Amino acid sequence: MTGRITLPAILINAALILFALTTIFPMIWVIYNSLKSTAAFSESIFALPSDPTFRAYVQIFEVGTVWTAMWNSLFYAVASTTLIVLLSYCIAYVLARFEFPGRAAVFSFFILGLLLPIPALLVPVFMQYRTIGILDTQFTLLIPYTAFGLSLAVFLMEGYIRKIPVELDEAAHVDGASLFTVMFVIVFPICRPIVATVALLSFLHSWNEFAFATTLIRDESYKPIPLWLRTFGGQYATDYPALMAGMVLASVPIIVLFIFFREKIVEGFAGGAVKA
Amino acid sequence: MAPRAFQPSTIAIWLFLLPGIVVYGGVVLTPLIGGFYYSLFETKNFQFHWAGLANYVRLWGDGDFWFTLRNNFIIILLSVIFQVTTAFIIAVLMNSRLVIAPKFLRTAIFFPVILSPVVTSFVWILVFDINSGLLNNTLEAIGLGGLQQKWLDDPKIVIYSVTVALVWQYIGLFLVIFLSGLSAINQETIEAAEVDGASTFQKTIYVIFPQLASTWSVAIVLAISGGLKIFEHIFVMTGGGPGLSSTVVAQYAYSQSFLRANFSYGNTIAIAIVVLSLTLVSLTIWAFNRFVVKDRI
Repeated sequence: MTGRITLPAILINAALILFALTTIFPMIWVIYNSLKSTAAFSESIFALPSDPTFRAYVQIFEVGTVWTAMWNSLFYAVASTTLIVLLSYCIAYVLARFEFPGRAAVFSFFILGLLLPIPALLVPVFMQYRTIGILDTQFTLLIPYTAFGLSLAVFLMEGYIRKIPVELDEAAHVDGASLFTVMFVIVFPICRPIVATVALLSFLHSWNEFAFATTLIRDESYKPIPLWLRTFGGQYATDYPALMAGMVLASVPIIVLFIFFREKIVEGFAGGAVKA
Repeated sequence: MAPRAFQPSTIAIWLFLLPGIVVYGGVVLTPLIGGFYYSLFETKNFQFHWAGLANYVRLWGDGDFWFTLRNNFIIILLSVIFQVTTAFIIAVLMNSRLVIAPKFLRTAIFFPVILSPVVTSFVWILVFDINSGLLNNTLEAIGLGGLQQKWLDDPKIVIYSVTVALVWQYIGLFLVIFLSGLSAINQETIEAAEVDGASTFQKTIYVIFPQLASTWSVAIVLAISGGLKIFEHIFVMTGGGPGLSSTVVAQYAYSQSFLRANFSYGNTIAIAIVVLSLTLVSLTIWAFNRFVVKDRI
């Protein structure tokens, strides 16, 4: 705000705003074109809908497969987020507070997950699941979604717990609190901000995940929303407004979360990456 | 940290660690071991026969494998040039007080990061569509119709088209990384340079850049490991085609396994990617620590 109004300043601002518009415009374009009829879309792909219609959405809901996919995605996202928060908090607390043989190894083991090229694990994980016989179940995707969320979660939580004075835990312990009470009644509530960040990132990742879903799930009744969108996009490749409505439906929860919690989400991504 | 008076038994500690280790190890560690094991066999009609290192010998001489790996390196190189560098420049500009709406810019540029790769892939399918696409129509509208291309169907340019989509989606991640790096550097050094009459350019090169060395290392490591992680976008946008022209290694492993039913070879490629990625990342971190970063945190 304090910068003087000079020509370079105007040019730089204009260029940056133009750039920022190119990052958000495609999604806005998708949203308003999803409200057009196919005829209106082919007339002009740029114009705002003159006669908005929910035809595409009605059509998608009538077919109905989207409900199953949304429910599945919600289940995978909520369940894996809960598991990630719980498991990573236990691990992070122990790593941050106690010295024990193997501590460094456990820490490195979890950090490794941040550097692994995860799609390379698709085929090996598929082989293992096929051998055990756990492909295509309601819980199949929960395991990889939880596992891959753990690395980042352990990392963020461990750093946060380290900054809480250990004297707090010790005072509670002296007063007769058990380890369990110290962890979950005393320290966990203090960790609320980082728990929120971890929960948001986990939810986003699980809701959006596609690679493991397409590898491990064949059964329609367990397909999450990205997998549904890919199938739907293949079937409706020429009905552009319908495809766009599908894209909007797959993104609504994510966009809503981003609007309300953008600071926390950005912070989590930045913090996680810097530690990697 | 020194042991404290408040120290639970080793058993109690491991009881808290165990559930996480089992879940995580079962998806990260045992598949890697299993994958390596299967890579030592040959698959014929879903039967496995011991083959020793034959798959690795085949991989070494497999031109298709090297071609798909080359695609990963094209993506990595272009993201370092366009994604990391642009993000750095934008971050420095946003930090310079010249910019009027930094919060809006950051939020807008970061926005695509949170979208599902399947959604953004369809966004770019629609942008690149030959007839109804945003890009070809825009070119025509501004009188540059001659530049229209079959963005996703021309084997010569398809790898660059998909790279544009990737750069677009994840540039915001690199932006927030540099912004958080910048917020941690010593503001006094910048003010001192201003007092001494340094230009914006001089400030950036001589004062800001050296203090951001470790942030650069993070960004480069991320670009390299990210470039070897590419799978979903290309899977959805082109399926790796036309032909092999936009196939990356992870998809090559996938199609060898699921389309050719050669799971042993698919596992071999998977193991090779993991080894390659970890080696490259370690080398990058080592090189940065050795040659660039002076003050390690």
